[in-house]
Amino acid sequence: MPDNSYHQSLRLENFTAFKDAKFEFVPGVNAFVGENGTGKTHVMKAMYAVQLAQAREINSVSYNLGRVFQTANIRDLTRLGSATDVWTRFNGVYRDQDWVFDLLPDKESWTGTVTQIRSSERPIFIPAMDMMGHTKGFIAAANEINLDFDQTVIDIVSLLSLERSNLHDRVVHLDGISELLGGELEFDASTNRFYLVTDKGRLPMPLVAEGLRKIATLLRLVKNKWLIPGTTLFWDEPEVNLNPKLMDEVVSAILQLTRQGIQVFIATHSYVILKELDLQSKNSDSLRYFSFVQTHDDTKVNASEDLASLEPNPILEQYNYLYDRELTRATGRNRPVEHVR
Amino acid sequence: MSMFVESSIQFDFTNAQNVIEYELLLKGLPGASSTIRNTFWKGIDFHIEEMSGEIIWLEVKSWNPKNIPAKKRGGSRRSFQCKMKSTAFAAATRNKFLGTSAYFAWDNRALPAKVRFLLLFEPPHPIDSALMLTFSDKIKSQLMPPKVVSFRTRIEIGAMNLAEWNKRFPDYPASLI
Repeated sequence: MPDNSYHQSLRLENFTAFKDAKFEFVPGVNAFVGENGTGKTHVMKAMYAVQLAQAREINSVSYNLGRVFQTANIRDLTRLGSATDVWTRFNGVYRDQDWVFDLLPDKESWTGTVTQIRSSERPIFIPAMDMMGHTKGFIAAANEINLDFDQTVIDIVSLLSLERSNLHDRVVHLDGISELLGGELEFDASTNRFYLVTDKGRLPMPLVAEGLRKIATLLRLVKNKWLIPGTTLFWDEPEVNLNPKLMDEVVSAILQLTRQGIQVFIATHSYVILKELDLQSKNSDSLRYFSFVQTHDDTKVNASEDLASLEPNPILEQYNYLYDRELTRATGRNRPVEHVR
Repeated sequence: MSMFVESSIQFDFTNAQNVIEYELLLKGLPGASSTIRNTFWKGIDFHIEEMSGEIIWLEVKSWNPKNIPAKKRGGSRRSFQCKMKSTAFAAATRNKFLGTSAYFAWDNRALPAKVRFLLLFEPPHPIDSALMLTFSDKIKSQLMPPKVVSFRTRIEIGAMNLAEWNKRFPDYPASLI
């Protein structure tokens, strides 16, 4: 696998919350932090839609965008308040190759099908909502009645169900995390349902705790070889439904994936996830934090490779605010006003 | 000037009504050997009576490399960090609070109706507010009901570093020495 198998940069112009946002990514973990509504998931979805086209999974970026953002008119993705003649533009560098997607008022253009990418290296998007407990009949329903779920949700259900038997030389290994499940995953292809098989019996996946289903999702994607070296994992809010005690293993798994050649993007609201990344990462790991800050008509993005230097960090700001109130109660004294939140 | 030093931190308590250094209080006891002081009468570092009438019990912990030979600093730092993060430390802090209370009761000193029990904690590396908050909560969990159900004094508990202390208590400035 070449060393350049990752998204190196991205620029978004007039896209949803962004007037002009630029990102320089690392091959390892790229962690997005910001308040609700700042566009973290939008960036990941846009990249996912583009990379699907680059992997020739589905060739039209605009088609992918429409399905990923659940809109029949992708001009809905142009930043609200933009002039009518303005274009929305994504451009970036992936595997050392420039790509551009332009959405003009009357046309669109795309340049950037990455020639050396293999179709096996399609991106993986794990949405915030658990879908492992909802596989039975989901794809059939999605196809038949056009379920109002975005494409990332439909895709993850499809990928969980599909086995790939080739690619023996491109597997990744995860240590430590499979024990958390307390059993083995089993897939019944006839019903399209997952089970957790333990020494006490066989439990249908909807009865398994949602936090464990998140872990099962990751394990399944590794086992059926969708997560392979050279691909990209977008994981929206990995902390959802997870008890903080499980987050150290999830972060360990994320870092293990990056060490085996998978670029990872996460959007998170969790202090524990961020702190685990900070504490578990080694000097040889590449890790960059991105802070999304909403202004009155734009979202600005700041980057830092050091969590303590990330400005602003809305998660830590909330802890500062709590701590300040805690100490005000404990000491009976307010902190000087200029230092408070 | 009313200067006190504890754990390599110097405090200026000139603006306090009265300050009792618990260790000195015990030294005046007949037969109170250091063993007895460190076990039976385990206590906090300072009892501070403020001009406002409020009472602060202050426990101070810091790791200051200036006072440690260079070749021992690594081990000393690790040892300090291990001690601080353990549940045993929270329990030891609770014991200091209870030991002080027991001594005050035994010595016929009035137990205050309300105490601000503060830990001034200056670690080798700064830790963020989320961790300080959990640190406070850990100590609090050791002192609050049902673990200390019969304790009648109202207790407010907080952990802070030196910078935070100076922001909250500019009347009692403190610095590393």
